[in-house]
Order: sequence, then structure tokens, then C-alpha cells
Amino acid sequence: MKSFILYIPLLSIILILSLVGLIVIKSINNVQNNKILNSALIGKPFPYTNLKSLQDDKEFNFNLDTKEPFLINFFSSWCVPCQYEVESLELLSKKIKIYGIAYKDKKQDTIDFLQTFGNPYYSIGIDNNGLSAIDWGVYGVPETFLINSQGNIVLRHAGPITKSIAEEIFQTEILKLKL
Amino acid sequence: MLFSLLIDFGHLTLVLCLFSSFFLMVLPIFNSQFENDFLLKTVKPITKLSFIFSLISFIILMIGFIFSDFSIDLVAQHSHTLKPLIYKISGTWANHEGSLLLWILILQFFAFLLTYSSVPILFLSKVLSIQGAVSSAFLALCLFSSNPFLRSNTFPTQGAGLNPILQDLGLAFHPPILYVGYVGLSVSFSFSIAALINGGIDRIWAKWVRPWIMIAWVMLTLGIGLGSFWAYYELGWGGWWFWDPVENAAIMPWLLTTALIHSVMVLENRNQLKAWTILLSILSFSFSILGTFIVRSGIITSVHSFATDPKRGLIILSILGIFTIIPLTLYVFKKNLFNTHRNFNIISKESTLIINNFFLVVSTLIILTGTLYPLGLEYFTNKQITVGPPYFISTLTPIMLIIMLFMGLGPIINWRENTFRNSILKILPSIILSFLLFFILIVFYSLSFSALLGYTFAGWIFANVAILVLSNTSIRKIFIEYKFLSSNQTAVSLAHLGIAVFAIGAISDSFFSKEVTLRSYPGENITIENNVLKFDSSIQRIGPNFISNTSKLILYDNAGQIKTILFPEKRIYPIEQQTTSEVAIHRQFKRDLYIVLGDGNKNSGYTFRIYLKPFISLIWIGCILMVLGGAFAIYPKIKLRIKSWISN
Repeated sequence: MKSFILYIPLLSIILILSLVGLIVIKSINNVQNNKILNSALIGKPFPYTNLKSLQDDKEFNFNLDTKEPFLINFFSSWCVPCQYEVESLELLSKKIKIYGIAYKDKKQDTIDFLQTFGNPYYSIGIDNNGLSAIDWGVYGVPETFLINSQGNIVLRHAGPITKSIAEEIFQTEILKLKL
Repeated sequence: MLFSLLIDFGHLTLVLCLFSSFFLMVLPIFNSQFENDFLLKTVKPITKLSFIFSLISFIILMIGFIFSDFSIDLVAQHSHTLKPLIYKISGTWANHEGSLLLWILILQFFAFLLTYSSVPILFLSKVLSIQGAVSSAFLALCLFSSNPFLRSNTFPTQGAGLNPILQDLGLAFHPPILYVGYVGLSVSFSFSIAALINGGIDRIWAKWVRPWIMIAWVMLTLGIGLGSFWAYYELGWGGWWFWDPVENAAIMPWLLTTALIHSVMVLENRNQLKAWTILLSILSFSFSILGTFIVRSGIITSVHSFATDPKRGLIILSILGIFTIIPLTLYVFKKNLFNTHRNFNIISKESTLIINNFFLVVSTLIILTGTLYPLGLEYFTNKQITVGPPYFISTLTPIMLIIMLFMGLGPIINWRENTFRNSILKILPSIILSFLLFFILIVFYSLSFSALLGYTFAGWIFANVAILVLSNTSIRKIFIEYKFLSSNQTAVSLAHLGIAVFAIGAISDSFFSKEVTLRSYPGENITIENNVLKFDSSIQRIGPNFISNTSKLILYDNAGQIKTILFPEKRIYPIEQQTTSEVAIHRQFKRDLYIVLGDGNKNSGYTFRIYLKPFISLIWIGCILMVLGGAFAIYPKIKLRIKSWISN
């Protein structure tokens, strides 16, 4: 057998693997730089959300009449990463209203959580059975959505908002919306 | 407390499994230095022990799922207290970490089975060493990047995983069966590497490895068949194969394994095609890992990509790299192992097998190109495209026709030399029958050219299988000697018949299925061909987060009797503005009546998409025949091993 033929599988495999490897590395970089998931909801109006409010058991709603952009943050007292992002959320709450949705949580636990770690939220809705989370297509807590003044979702972030993500991604996007 | 101890024990056995696999991997190195009999004696017990470790680990994880122990992070994320028991069990492998553990368990199980094979221990220890290497790599991946036993810091009360879409029996059981097929290919891979290192790629080697390839092939066929059946009744798109990347990832190893079965037969009977057989063994297992990679990395968007994490993808890709580049380098440097005297006769069984081998590999490459091309294009130009059915169908149809042509010939032509006269005489009846069928089809039916050829070649395979059966059996043999065909002949007949039956189903579906979209009001009759459906009523039902429209359709037969009542359903998730369809199917051998309910209300009427799919059941009957064929090929060997094992 001619020996060069034997090299063909090896060389083509190396070629294919390096191509796939490059693509994977690129997608890892994408994920690390901005953990923005391409949600099917981006650019669409945010889903109808019918929840009870944590503060007064009345109907929870977003102040839609003011026509300003806002953030929606799904969190839980049982979720450890949610504790870490409170600090960055408080930073962002100076720039924009943040609505919280307590996902599959007990009311008292949520209140304890807010007392322990701080409360960056303008208002909080209770999503006891997680149905709202399904409507929003939430991947897991914590997860954050940015909604513009027209009520369309412009940004989605799964996982905790670190300081760098808050500063590099959210602040710039919020600035763009407010211009 | 006791429960927590149990979970930790499961974690521990997984670590022990890594140690024992690693030991098996390095053992032949020490053994060849010291020629140590004692070390060799430990191989089998340690392989068994390693399997038991992985089994304990898997069972403990399953117990965690069954009892909803949310102290395990994985269980908290993927299970729910309200899930039915069967889905709690299947939940064990319905996630990345658990499915990886299942992958390892199956790998260990194959190593365990290998300890009962008749292969001499000196060679077997090398085979098990390669198995140990594969195990070690995946165990390391499991422990260091996807550990199923990691604890969560908090205790959710009910768990997060109650996804209704994932609660389906077909969905729960086709992946593990497919996994057995994927992982089963590791055995022929290990045999090949061991033979590359050790030498001795010969007819005995082929005899050893053939049943293992067959087991993998049977499970792959079964898994793919079940998966396609699930897609047909669950997705509501009216099709059974979508050329989705994950489907491609399963069909590529299947095609290579099909080629491998036939090339190892040539090696076993004629001591030829050594290099080719080794190459196919290596590649078919790499394509299995590639399949795992495609499902788990999420680099290819697909309906199947549930677990998406590119970092894990990179690790699986590195494992894939190690287990392809090293063997293929070895392959280049051990070329003196492949030297054979080649004395091929053009008219012989081996030449038909080689032609089909070539075309099976070509079709694999075509599918690989179609699967990876969008990725490459996106990388270099940032354009997003999808490669759909038109590409695959137009490129693969001619190749499949060629394969069917030679597939008919293969089983009845002899090994080695045949005179042209003898061979023609043998296949003369089937040639005549095929031509007859060809002209009947031309005269009485107006078919497209590829459908015409497809049916003719299916008939050609039928006729040749009939010749094989008739020339190897007789009434005397059956009734007096109680002998039918040999198990190999039965296997070939069934498997080839399966392909022909499958082809008829697939061709009938793609050329003659009818699709009607219509609007109807309750009380009206819908007539499609000679099926009369009465649209009886429409019911609205409110689910937990959806509204369901269900239509009641009564199917009458010719005499006006009620045949069956069908309930196609449409679920509307008002908030996401999404809809899902629950298909209603009336199955008959001759046709499937497949009804999808569309939009509508009482005032404007309801839309229905109704498909008539002639002979579509043949697709799955064909798969069953192929599986049976494979089973017939394995059965005598397993029986033999069990007998000798019992007598020892």
C-alpha cells in the first residue's frame, strides 16, 4: 500500500478537529465576554406577568405609564449566586428601576434574604409556582432582562451579574436606552 | 445523615472506578517489562470490580433521583417531587452529568462482558487497557468538569425540573439505547488499537471482534429507529427524519458501522481489507464521540441541544482528539501490518462488499460536510445558514440506489472467483423479475425516475434474498432435518430484507404522501381520498399554563360504521404566544392518517393539516427486521459463550 494514502485520514481528522476547535473556542469567548443568551424573546414585548406583590399582597405590576426602561431580575433566597449579585444590582438601581421576581420561594425566606443581603428592588413580585418564569423562558435563577421604554426586551443575561458585567454591559446598554 | 453518607459513597466509588480504570490502562506496560503472570491474573477481576464500582455509583445517583434528594445539586436542578416515578428514574440520564455517568457505566459494562470472551488473556489485557484508557478519560471529564454528585448549598422544596416536554416515554428511552450502540463501538476500537500495537490483524482477530460490532450496530439501529418514531408522533411536523445535526450524528456512526460489519466479513473470510477495517473501527468510534460532542457542546443549534456548554464541548473535543489522532498516527507507522497478497476477482462477494463499503463511507462524508459546513461558514463569514433536506436528499439518493444495487448482489455471489457465466445464471431469475417489475411500474404507474429505480431495486433485493433462501433450504431440510437457514444466512436475509422494506416505506412516504390543509366547522364532513371524517365537536380545556383546543373527529369506514375517534389537540401558551400540537394518528398498514389541528374558532372554522402517509409503517418494520437480522447474527455466539461459561 502506498504510504501517503495512510496519511489521508490523519490529516483530514486534524483539519476537521482544528476547525471545530476554533469554533468552540470562539463560542467560549462569546459566552465569557457576555453571557447574553439569544432569547427568542429579544426584540419582542415582554410577556404578560400576573403576580402578587411581596409588599402588600396586591397585584404586582410594572409602572408602565412612566414609559421608562427597567430591569427584571428573577431571584430566589435559596440561590447562592443571587446573594453575590445583590451588590452589583444595588449599583445599577441608582441608574434604573429594578423589579424583582422571587422565583419558587417562601415569602418569609424572601424577606429574610432582602434583610440580610440588601434590597436593590423597586418592587417585588412573587412567582410561587414558577409559571411566570416559564413565560419569560427563564433558564435558571438568577436571570436578568432589560426592557426598553416601548416595553420590548433588549437584553437577557443568565447567571449572576458580576461587577464587570454590570459596568461593561448593563451600564452601556442602559445609557443607550436613556439617550 | 445516612442518606448523605450513601451519596458520598457513590461519589467515592466513582473515584475508585477511575483508579481501577487507570490501573487497567497502565498494566500492560508493566507486564511487558516484567512478564509478570500475577499481574495478568488481576486483569479480569479488576475489570469486573471497576464495573461494579460504576454500577454502584450509578444506582446511588438513581436513588438520589427516586427519593428526590435535593442536597445533590443535579437532582435539584433536574428533578421535581411531583414527577411520576418512571420519569424520576429516566431523569437520572436526562441531563449532561447523569448521561455521562450512564456513558461510563455502559463502557464499563462492555469491558465486563469482554472478560467472558474467549480471547486469550495476553491480547485481552491489551484490549482492556485501551478500554481503561477511554474510561479514564471520560471518568476524569465526569469527576472534574461534570460531577453528578456535587452538593448544593441550599434545599429547594420541590426541585426545578418539571419540564412537560421532556416527559415522554419515547424521549426517555431512545437515548440510552443509542448510547449502548455508540459505546459498543469502543470494543472494536480497542481491538483495533490493541492489534495495531501488538500485531496480528488476521482472520482470528476478525472472528473475535465481529459479534461486538454487531451488538453495537443492532443497538444503533434500534436507537435511531425509536428516535425517528418518537419524532414522527411527537413533533407534529409530519415527518420522520429531519436531517437535524443530532440525527446526523447518529446516522454517521451507523453508516460506518454498517460498512465495518461488511469489511470485517471480508477480513474474516479472505484475510484482506486489513487497513480498511482498522480505519473503519477507529473512525466509527470517533464518530460516536463526535455524536456525544455535538449533543453536549451546543455548538450546533438543534432541537436536541438541551445541554449547552461550550467549555465542556472543548474537553470532549480534546478527548476526541486524543482518541483519533494517536490511533491514526499509529495507523500510519504500523503500515507493515497491513501487507496482504491481493488477488481480487472482480466478480466476487468481496468486490460487491468493497464497492458498498466505499459508497457507505462517501455518504458518511457527505453528511459530515452538510453538518459541519454551516459552522465553518459562520466562523469565516459570520453568515448563518442551515443545510436542509434538499442537499442531503439530492446527494444521497443516487448513492443509496447504487448501494441497493450491489446489496442485492452481495449475499448470493460466492467468495473468491466466479465465472461470469455461473454468476449470471444464479441471478438470472432476479434480473428477469426486476426488469418485469420495472416495466410494470413504467406502464401502470407514473413515477419519477428515482422512485422507479428505488422500487425496482427494492424488488431486486427481495428477489435475491428469495434466491438465497430457496437455494439454501428445501422442504426436506425443514421438515425432516429441522434445519432452516444457517444463522448467518438468516441474519443476512432479514437485514437486507429490512433495508428493502425500509426503502419502500421511505420512497412511498416521500413521493406519495398527501398533505391537505383545510378549514372546517363542527358538524361538517371531511373527505380525503376514501376516508370520511366527521368533525364532531371542538372542546376547550384549560391546563396549568396553556389553553387546549381539542377536536373530536370520527372516522367512518365504507359501510358507515365508526372506525375510530381521533382527538388532535392544539395547546396555546397565550403569554409566550407559542403553540404546540398533539398529533392524532390513525395507523393502518396501508397508510397512516396523521391529523394536526391548526388555528381556529367556532365562527371562522378550524384549520386542519391532514397527511395521508402510504406505507410509512414499513419504515419502522424495516428497522425491526434489521434489528432481528443483527440479533440472529449474534445469538449463536452468545449461546456458545454462555454454554462454555456454564460448563467451566
